[in-house]
Amino acid sequence: MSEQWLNVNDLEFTSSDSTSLGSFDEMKFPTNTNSQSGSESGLDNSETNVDEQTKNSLITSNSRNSSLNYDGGSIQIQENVNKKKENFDKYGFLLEGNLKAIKEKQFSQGLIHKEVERTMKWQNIITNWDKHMKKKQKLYHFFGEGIPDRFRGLIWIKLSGSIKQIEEHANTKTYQQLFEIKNKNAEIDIAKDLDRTFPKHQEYMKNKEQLRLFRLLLAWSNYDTGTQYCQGMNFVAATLLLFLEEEQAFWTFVVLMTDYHMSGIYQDGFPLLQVYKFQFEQLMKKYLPKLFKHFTNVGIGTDLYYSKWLLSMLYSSFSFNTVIRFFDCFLLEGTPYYFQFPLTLLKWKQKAFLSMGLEELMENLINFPDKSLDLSKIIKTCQKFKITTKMLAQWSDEFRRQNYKRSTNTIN
Amino acid sequence: MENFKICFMGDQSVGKTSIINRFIYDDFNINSQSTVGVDFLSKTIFVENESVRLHLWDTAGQERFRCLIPSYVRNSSLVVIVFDITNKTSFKSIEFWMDTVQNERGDDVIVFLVGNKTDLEDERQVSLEKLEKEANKNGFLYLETSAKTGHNVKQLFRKIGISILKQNKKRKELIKPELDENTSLMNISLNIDPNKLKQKEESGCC
Repeated sequence: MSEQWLNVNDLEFTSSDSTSLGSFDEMKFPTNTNSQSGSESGLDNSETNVDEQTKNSLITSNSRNSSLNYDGGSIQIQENVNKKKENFDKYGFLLEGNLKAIKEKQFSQGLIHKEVERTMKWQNIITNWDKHMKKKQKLYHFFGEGIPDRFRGLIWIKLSGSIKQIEEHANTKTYQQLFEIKNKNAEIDIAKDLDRTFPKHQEYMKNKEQLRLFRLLLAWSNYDTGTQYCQGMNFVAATLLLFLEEEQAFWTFVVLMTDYHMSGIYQDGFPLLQVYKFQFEQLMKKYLPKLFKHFTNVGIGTDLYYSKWLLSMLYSSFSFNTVIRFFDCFLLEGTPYYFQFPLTLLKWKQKAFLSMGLEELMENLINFPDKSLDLSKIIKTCQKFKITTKMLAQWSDEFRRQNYKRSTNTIN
Repeated sequence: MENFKICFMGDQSVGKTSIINRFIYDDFNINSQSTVGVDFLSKTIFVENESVRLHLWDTAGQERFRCLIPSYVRNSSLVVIVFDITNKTSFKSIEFWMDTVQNERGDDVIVFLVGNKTDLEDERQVSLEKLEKEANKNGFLYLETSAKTGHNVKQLFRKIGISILKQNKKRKELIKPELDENTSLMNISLNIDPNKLKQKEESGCC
């Protein structure tokens, strides 16, 4: 077994040279973050430090995948690694469909010019961060146009406030200590999902990237032993890892789960998810009554699509590009964005959806047709759906009252 | 054409999604993405000269998601409980899945038990005798498949189609006698003797 493990780590590891994701020398961020291998994240020895048993338990619990990967599947890994670089998009995901057309679109002169312009704007925003944060509305407008990839990681840690935690823990071994604690149940659950997170991403096709994801999720499970690991978290963590160093990603993950209340979505019984679902239903009734009625008539409740969207931070049903654009704005706007963004997307597709039956609707809600959508436009119109704290609080109380009634009825 | 809801359940990474993908696309990915919440796919199959539209609901396997399963089992015509023949724990969970189904539906639903990953026969942890015993005890229909090689997958869905049609016919026959009485005013005569039907029904159960 351990031999197999070593073989995987010995696989040649070429770093993606997509736009230098998250790196920002001026701010004393690690350089060349895009390769993000352990040796550059200040955790160079951590791989060998993971105690042998933890590593073994990962291998054992993942034995199905190991044997598939290493015996019958070794060809598969090799194949994936050898796929030409140009077959992946700028975020590292395998391109499907007409590659040439997609590539031409991605690197057209117009877009490159726009990117340069945006970069300069964002450079200014970063330099005068506090000033811009005071004019949130104006800042939101820039978010509509999109954050250049090279700044995304930095903006995320600034917006979420995880930068404080990162700095606080810069010279400590807290993160490492966290992922070194034994946690058999979490390890087994996490290991089962490693191969199944971003299966079409060039870095995740290789096991080294998966080890970073494993450590982050294990550290979280030990950080909040009440919430632990829940499926869906793997997509959130993997997204962070694409733009941040491992330790930065971990502290940002912690902030998301705590300050942004995401852990409530994943806890046993999904307490906050239930509330959000109820609130979203009320908002549908209020803002998209026709569509809500249609969904109800064909038998589609929010549990069939909205839960899925929230649990995977949209990843399970949307393209990666949509996911990160949502995520940018979510960090700025907080909870209301859980409602505004999905409402806007549904409104955008309302006409088409109204003519669909159960089958077609479910297919569209699970694989949302977002490729042709103008995300900048969508983001800019999101705020048209007015959502106040008062509204949300009122519905949350109503939900609790109803639930209380239901539970007492069952007892009686 | 009538639609039938089929709900797939079973532990994490036993191959629920892969079995469905093999059936719908005749394709297999070693690493399919983990299912969060529930997925949905549909396909028409032809069995015994009839076409049947299957709505396949694929659920998440992690223990935490189990509390959501009852709502998916509701209105299902058939439930497929999947386990991994190379993973004893996933086999032990069958009891839990069965309880969930029975709590929600009693015996009013067909249950298929599927042992997946026969391509990993060398790593088998669940003996065939044990399986037979479990299947007989609960009156399940049992089948072993490999989503990776495609072994028995078509067969599984054919059997699903046949069982559903059979059950559907039974249901209709049970409703017809009542209909017959109520609709006699409309001069519709179906020439069915309700007593005979009932007998047939009873013998059909054995």
